[in-house]
Amino acid sequence: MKCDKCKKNEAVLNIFEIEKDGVKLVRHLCEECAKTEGIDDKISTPIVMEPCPRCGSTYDEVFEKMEFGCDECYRHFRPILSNIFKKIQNSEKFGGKVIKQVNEALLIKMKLRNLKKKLEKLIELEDYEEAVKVRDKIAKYEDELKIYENN
Amino acid sequence: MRITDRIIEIPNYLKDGGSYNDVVIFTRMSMRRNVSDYYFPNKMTDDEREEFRKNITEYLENKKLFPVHYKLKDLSFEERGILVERFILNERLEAKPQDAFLMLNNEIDSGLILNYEDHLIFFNLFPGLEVNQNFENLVSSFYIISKEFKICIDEQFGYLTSSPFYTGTGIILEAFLHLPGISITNRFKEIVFDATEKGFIIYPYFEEKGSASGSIFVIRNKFTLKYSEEEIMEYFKKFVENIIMIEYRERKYIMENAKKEIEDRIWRAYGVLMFAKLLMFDEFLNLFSAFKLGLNYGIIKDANIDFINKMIIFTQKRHLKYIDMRNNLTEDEKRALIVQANIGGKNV
Repeated sequence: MKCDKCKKNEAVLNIFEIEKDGVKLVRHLCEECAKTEGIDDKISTPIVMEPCPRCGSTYDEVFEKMEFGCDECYRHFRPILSNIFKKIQNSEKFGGKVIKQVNEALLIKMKLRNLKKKLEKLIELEDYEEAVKVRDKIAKYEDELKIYENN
Repeated sequence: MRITDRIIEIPNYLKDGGSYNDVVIFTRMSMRRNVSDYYFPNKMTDDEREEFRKNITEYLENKKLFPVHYKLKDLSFEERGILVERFILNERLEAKPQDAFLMLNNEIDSGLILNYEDHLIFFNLFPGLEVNQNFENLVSSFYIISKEFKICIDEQFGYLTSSPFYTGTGIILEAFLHLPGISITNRFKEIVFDATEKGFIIYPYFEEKGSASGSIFVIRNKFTLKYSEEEIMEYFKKFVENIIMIEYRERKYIMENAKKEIEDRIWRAYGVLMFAKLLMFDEFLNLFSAFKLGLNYGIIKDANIDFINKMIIFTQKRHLKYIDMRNNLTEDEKRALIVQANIGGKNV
């Protein structure tokens, strides 16, 4: 493929532009034109790369559509991803937390919230028989929650 | 249960609770995750997507989590439209449901979408800006699934998603705001600039001929990788609160400098909403915006209306069609009737 600018040399870089809802491939440049033009503020990636060994997603699929095919794509294309992520995420490193172990207290809190919503609704519908049952359940979970929180 | 059976229910997130309820209509939060045993949905075969759906639904059945299920393909275009009007689905899923599968809680304000872009998209909708408590809800549902299914995670990039725009925490927060003050004083451009600088996107939700119908705007975070979950929520809240303060300031400014004009606009809107025989949606939204502002200012006091925000969904096309089944009435007629029934306290 020839360079889109000088139309002479072999193109080695893909140049992308960020749009509202994604990234668009704009053109292909050779090394020389890339240098003279200055592409620091744009996303650029090398043109040639093997497809992902796991799902077979090609370079074009991943970077023109901005769509990974599987988790292995991230490892396979890692060398050029930092550049992409710096542009679209303003960072190349995960700053979040890995949510590891199951937090029982959180689960109980969620159940309690749902039960309280249910109770409100039952009272609204004047189904007091069912409401009493839900109220007892809430009391049980609240006791359980206290145990977790005291530990 | 058909989605149309519960069409007259007012969703919890549109009841006027929550913080800053004179500006915040509701907030939507979502979290994306993928399971490492499968390729991402765009690369899966139909059989694999079906197998994945079966595995998840069977596992969650015992846990009593998200018991209301819809295969989006099996719903009619109109039924999907109702879910869009309720802010549960986006318009792309309405047009092209593919193999996406929707699981909801009984209250229909929280759920999980399977096989759409990512394997798992947890979401919930709530009034106000109480993001932290609702984040706990999302995380709890995620815990339950992560006990059984291996989740894609990477040391450098965190939780892996099919689109790099969600990689990392996979968390998107969207606040739906009513900003009539900012619209009237034309401060929108400044805010857009500020939002871009700070890593947020702001856009009108209903757009007609390039202007924001009803002054309803959405603010969402742009970055998912750089910050921790807590930081994303904190910065989001701060930014939205800042916008709310600007909105309050503009509302005060308008009252101080153009009291007669704004009162005139509000009462005219009220009058048209009360007595019009035909209301187009776009027209309704703009009148509704002035009417709501009148309530917030305390100018309109005698309107008999239980929840204001519900009118945003009940006046949309598909809701009108199923709430009022009379075939001899046009959409605009039905809209006028339902508005008058709501703000006039009459039962039409």
